Amino acid sequence: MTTDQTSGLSRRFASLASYAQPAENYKLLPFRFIPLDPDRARYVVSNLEGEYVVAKRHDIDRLVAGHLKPDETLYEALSAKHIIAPTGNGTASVELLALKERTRLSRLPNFTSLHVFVVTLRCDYSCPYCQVSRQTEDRGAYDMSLETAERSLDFVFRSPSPTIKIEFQGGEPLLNFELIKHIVTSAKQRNVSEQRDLAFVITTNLTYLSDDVLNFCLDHEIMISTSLDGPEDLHNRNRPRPGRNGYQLTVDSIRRAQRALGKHRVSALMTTTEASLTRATEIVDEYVSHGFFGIFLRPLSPYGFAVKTRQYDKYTTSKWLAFYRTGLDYIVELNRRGTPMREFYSSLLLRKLLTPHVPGFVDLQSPAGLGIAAIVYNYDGDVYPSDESRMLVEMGDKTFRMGSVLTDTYEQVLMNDTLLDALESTYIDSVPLCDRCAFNPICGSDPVYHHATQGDMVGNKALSAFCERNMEVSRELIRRMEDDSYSRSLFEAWAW
Amino acid sequence: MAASRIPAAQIGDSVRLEFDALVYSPDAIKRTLLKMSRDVSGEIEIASQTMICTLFRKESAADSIDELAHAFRIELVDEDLRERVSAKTEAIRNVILAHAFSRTNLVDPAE
Repeated sequence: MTTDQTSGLSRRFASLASYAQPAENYKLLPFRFIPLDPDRARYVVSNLEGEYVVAKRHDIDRLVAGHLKPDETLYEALSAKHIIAPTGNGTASVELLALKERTRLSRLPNFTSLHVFVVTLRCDYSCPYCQVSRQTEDRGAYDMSLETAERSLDFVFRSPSPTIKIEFQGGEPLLNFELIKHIVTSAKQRNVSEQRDLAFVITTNLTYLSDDVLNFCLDHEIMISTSLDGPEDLHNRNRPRPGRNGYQLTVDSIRRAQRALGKHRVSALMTTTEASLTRATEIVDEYVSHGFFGIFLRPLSPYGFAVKTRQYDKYTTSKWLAFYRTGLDYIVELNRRGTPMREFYSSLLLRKLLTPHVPGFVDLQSPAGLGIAAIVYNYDGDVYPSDESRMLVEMGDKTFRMGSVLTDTYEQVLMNDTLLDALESTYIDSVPLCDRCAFNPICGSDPVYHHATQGDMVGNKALSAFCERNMEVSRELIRRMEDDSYSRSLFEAWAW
Repeated sequence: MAASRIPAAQIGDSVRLEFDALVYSPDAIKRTLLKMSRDVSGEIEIASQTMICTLFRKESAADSIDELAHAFRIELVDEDLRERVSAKTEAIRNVILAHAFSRTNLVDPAE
């Protein structure tokens, strides 16, 4: 052949070497993947701990087939996130993943840190979405007794957790303020020998926030948490208080509490109702105007009066997601303009996505946070593994009742089959659809939610609004971080 | 791409899909059916080397039966890949988890 002919041939055919099978230059480590975009243009590929990379679908095929090259950006990203282990890196990836797995589960041996005391069921409000059936003010039968409080404190300090938070709920807990004072004082006396990191919170509608209450809170570093659903008309519509302007009372009391205790000791929570769904920006503005640094855009829970008054049926998850996206858009914009504000649910998920730290949010844990993370001592001495399971009682459902501080030992209550069966059966690594979901490491099981909505603690996740919400919020956050560098740096700050 | 040998037979709001049983496992098909159970119910049969999956569109589904069949095929390919990844990485996953808890006394050494 002439030189011209050979060079022509070599232009038309690649060299023999390029047809050889690529040498294996990495090993696969355990990972999961899920579409990120509705059109599946991009996927989330995550490791055992939830660290993730965004990739195209055909690149995942190449990844599994062993065809990624070390000089590819994707190869580097997957290696950094321990989704592949480059050949020759020894056991480094295994050891790092094992360490991260231990860190992720490190809360478990500490056991219960949040202890909720329902000191009364009495309340002066008539909120249609209230998750607790409330008794009117004059029914003294619905107050926690001194004996029940002391027995509950016995249980509190049986937990090995180095940090203990005691949260007072109701009804309206300040209607039984004398008992709150007793519990705080008694707990602190016990803590002289126990030496735990002890904190207190009162969740209150602020009606009974007297100077005595504020002084007591100041002396004992007690935090106040209240409800603020949005602008005046919305708040009063969601939270009617017979005979008074509940909104005005709330905002006046928030100001008093902030002045007395400091803004860092006063927080507020909103609840989304059908009336809230088109007013996300106004609700956020309301929080900004009252000096709050963040807002939790919560959905309506399917418990208590919310079900009885059919509030729960009134909107689908998709409507709530639209509300959430509008609210998040606005909060990001506020930050761009120099007003620091964060969305707390997003912050929780971001903390799980971007850091090795695990926030103690009961609803997003597996094993479920029931009993392990939180425990509720009801006014009558009955013990429940979460606030939501206590609310089911008001619907006549005592499925999750663990026992009573008045008649049972700590061991009998915490080793109750009710609790153990719920924890075991709902562990998401063993649940269909959850076991291979890329968001598994950052999600949770929420047995009470699935029991309340599907009659089954595990639930079919394809039908679960809890699942849909968590997946779509996670996707929303990752898409924003991928598509907008400002959002990325803002969300990274929220995570830490 | 889904290995459907015969075009899907559509009857009203149902569609019959056929898959090569040498390509897709029953588990992958069941997982896909479960994942789509908000919009469809289904029946699965095995005939020789063919897995036949009949999808029945629920009234509440927003998509047409054609669109649901399309979505099923796409999701099945993903489920198949998940199955392969899980099998390929099972051993190393167990090593990682064992290593994570190797210094605790949570496991009875007699077991």
